[in-house]
Amino acid sequence: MRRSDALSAVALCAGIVIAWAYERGATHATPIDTALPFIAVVVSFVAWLVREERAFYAISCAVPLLLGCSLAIVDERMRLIGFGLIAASAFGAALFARETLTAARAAGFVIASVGLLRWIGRDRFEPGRELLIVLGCVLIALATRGRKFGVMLAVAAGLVSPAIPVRTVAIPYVVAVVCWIAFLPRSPLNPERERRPSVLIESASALVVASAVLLFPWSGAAARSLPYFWRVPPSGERIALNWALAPGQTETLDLPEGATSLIVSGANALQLHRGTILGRIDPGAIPIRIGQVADWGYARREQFWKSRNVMPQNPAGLIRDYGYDAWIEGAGRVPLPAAVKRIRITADRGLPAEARLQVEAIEVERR
Amino acid sequence: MTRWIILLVIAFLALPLIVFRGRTLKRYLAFEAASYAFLALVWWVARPGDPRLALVACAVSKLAAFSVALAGGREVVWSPNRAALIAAIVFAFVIPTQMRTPIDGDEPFYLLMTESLVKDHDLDLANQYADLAHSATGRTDLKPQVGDTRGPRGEEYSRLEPFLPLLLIPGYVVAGLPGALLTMALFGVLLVRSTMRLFEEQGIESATTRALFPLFAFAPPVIFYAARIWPEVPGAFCFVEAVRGVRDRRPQRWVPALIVLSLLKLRFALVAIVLVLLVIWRNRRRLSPRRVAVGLAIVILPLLVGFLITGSALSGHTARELLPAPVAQYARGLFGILLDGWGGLLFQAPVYLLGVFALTRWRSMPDAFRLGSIAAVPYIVSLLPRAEWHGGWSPPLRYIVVFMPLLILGAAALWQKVRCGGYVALAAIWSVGLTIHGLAFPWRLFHIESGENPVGEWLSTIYHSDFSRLFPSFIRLNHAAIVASVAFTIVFILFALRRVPFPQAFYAPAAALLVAAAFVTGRAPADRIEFEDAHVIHNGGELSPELYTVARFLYRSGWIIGPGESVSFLARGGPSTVAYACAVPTTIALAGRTYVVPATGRRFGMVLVEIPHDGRVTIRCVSGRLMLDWMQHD
Repeated sequence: MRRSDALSAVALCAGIVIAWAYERGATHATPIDTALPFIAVVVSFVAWLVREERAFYAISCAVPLLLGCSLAIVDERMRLIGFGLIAASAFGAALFARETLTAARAAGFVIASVGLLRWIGRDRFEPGRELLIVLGCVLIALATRGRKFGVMLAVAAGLVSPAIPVRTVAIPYVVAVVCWIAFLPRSPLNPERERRPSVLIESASALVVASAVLLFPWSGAAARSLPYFWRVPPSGERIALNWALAPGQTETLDLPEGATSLIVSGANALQLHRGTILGRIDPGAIPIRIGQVADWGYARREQFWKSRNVMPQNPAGLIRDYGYDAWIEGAGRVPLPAAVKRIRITADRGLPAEARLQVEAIEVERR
Repeated sequence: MTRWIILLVIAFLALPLIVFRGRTLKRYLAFEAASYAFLALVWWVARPGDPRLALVACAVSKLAAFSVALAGGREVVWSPNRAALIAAIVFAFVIPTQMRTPIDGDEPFYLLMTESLVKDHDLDLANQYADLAHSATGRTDLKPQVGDTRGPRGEEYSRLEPFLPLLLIPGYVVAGLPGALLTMALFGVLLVRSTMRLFEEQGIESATTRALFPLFAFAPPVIFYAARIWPEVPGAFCFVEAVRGVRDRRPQRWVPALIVLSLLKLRFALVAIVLVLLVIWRNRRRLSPRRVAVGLAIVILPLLVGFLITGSALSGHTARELLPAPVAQYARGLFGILLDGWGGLLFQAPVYLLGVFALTRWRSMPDAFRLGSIAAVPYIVSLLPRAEWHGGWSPPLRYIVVFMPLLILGAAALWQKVRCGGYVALAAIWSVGLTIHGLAFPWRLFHIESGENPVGEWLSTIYHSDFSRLFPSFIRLNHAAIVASVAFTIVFILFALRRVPFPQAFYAPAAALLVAAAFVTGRAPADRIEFEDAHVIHNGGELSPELYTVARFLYRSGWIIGPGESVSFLARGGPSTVAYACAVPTTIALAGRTYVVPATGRRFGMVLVEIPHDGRVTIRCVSGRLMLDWMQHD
């Protein structure tokens, strides 16, 4: 295929999708839907990176598939997963299609991945920091001389660098330096001593990149609370309470029939370590600890780095926002004692004065 | 579910071991492991509400990935036998998907005949109809069909040919319905092997064969017919064998193939007649009475069998079907088979359209393609003017499944001469979607011939706007059908003239453009409203004629509403004409005005209505009862 054809195709895709998104804007409210033209440009660019391969044609079909997905799936969550799946398939197919990459192509993959993971669906975007991060990620790809392994490292570094505080921008650069040393010609770690890249490592790398891209509509949540996606169980019906208990405060609650657990989180509890007791449920003096629950906003990009909380064992929080701004609420599920009609919830007296135990809701079995 | 997942994992481990070697095998196995991890992540994230659909989607996607690796792999060992082995493994998984709902269409009648042959040693189905509770068909609603014959002592003979039920006997005796389906799948495997052998004999390169093999074996229509009881797949196998035999001058191959082909379905005899005539023409200088007798036997045998069993040699058909019909009917059938949104190649098996375009390179096409095409002509010509050109109550493309090996051979030959990667990629992705849909929802392979299709219905239901009108329908002729016919003709001519390049990189953007345009157009009110369609919100009332009316496409269909019932839809502002039928004078309310429409008796009447502006309007029945057929903006 001629390069001009491929370029024109990419340009055409972008134009079409922009027109589409304009028409579409009023229907879907999420910032990811609004960013559909950008997503289409990214997958078209990825297709262009493997333009000599047969897979080019199949990967460029990702654009009509994205539009079809936008058109046919009304449920927001499933639609965004659909976008993620299509983009991940495009990235995965492109990485598997080429056995080896040049450094320039690897850099292309890195820019496309980081762009998709970090640049869309955000309320607050710091261009300077983002530019520094993408530059650092590109350096990783160059340092690893185009290995897919390097692309994976770059994507991972790009994903875990919140850029708040600013010093976290250094993460990709640190990785790049380590890679550069590892790939020095005389380094015992230099993987180039092997004639061909290891199939296993290259495949695993492609898998990690595709998996990261799969979650791009909530890349922030994936970066800071990845286990949430497989830990969160199907939720029951919730009866909202919205109580915030000050240290030592007690509330009594009559349980409705079928109540299974309490949805609890902390407020102003970022600095509390795992295991710290937030409160108790009586009868039974069942403790509520950090680890079972977390500060409600601990996973926000601005707070994650300074928080000492960990993700709740049985997370019950919802995903908020989109793209790299997405985060998981710190609420956790605390099982209620069996055969009890009334409970008393007490916030621990030893909590800092400004901290609160937030009782968000009771969860009832779905009938 | 867990058992099926384990079996699928074993199968997907076996597939690469059959064909891949060396580093290709290593890379594929690494991909295999990675794909499971990826799918597990997708599963966890998506938490699918319909695990069966999700499992089918995962399996088909993995099969597609395997097919891509097969097409592009460097260290691949390939032969028709290996292709058959792969097909056997895949078809074994297709059978259970098709058993999710009771067999449908002609299938239960074929199985009833098998049961009758096994249990009563006759073809009289009267006692089978009387005791359907003990039938393996799983259907208790069966009754004699239009065209069946009745014997002097009340015997009920099916209009269907008895040879397929005869072939099903061993499988049925061993395992009932699954055994019968397994027999069909075996024919599917034989068809795949035979077609791949034909590719080899016709000099199709291994890479091309490997690229098209999955699109033939594991895409519609073959995958659906290979696990269902219809004579199409055995017929296609016999057709390939006959073409190979005639081409290679091997009577021991083509004579039995043509006999079986004619016995499977009387309409296939039209193909057999041409092939026999071609053999006679080739051997006209050394024609012996024996050869003529063999040829006559091939033609006469199915007629004789039909006569002996049912007393009618033509088994429900009439010689009138072979007489010329008006040209418009041919055009409608031809473009319908090519472009119809429900029953056409473009939407149901787009890869095979390449086989149609291969006709433009007639001279450079393989012998077998030309031979088969000539043999197909009378059959196709007799099929086109029929009202049931789309196959009726069956999975799509029923009547042309028999020619799929021929079309895929043409597609392969064309692939080697013309770059068509862009089109094939798009067609392959669409086929993956069709396969997932057909395997996950087998009952949707059957569709009332209403002029809509599942995609149009789905979008219409979401947006309550008429998206079905964007798909060409030749069953209920619409504007899209005319536009598509003209466009296809132009493209076909341009392709034949080789004047205009078709850059492959532009297919995907063109598809994106079409989707975007369709979305914008589809949300606007339509000029014509068909009241039974999915986009109309029905508040009470009923469909007319009823859903399972035999040959429903022959009727004018609509929606019946009574007092208090209504229909709501998007319409264009201005004057419109409503077509309706009612037995008594009926009052309807529309956009704040009431209209008293006179009784029409058995005919349809028209009433002029005024719609104030573009938007949603409601027709409510105030008194009486009427059937609303359509509304046309004037």
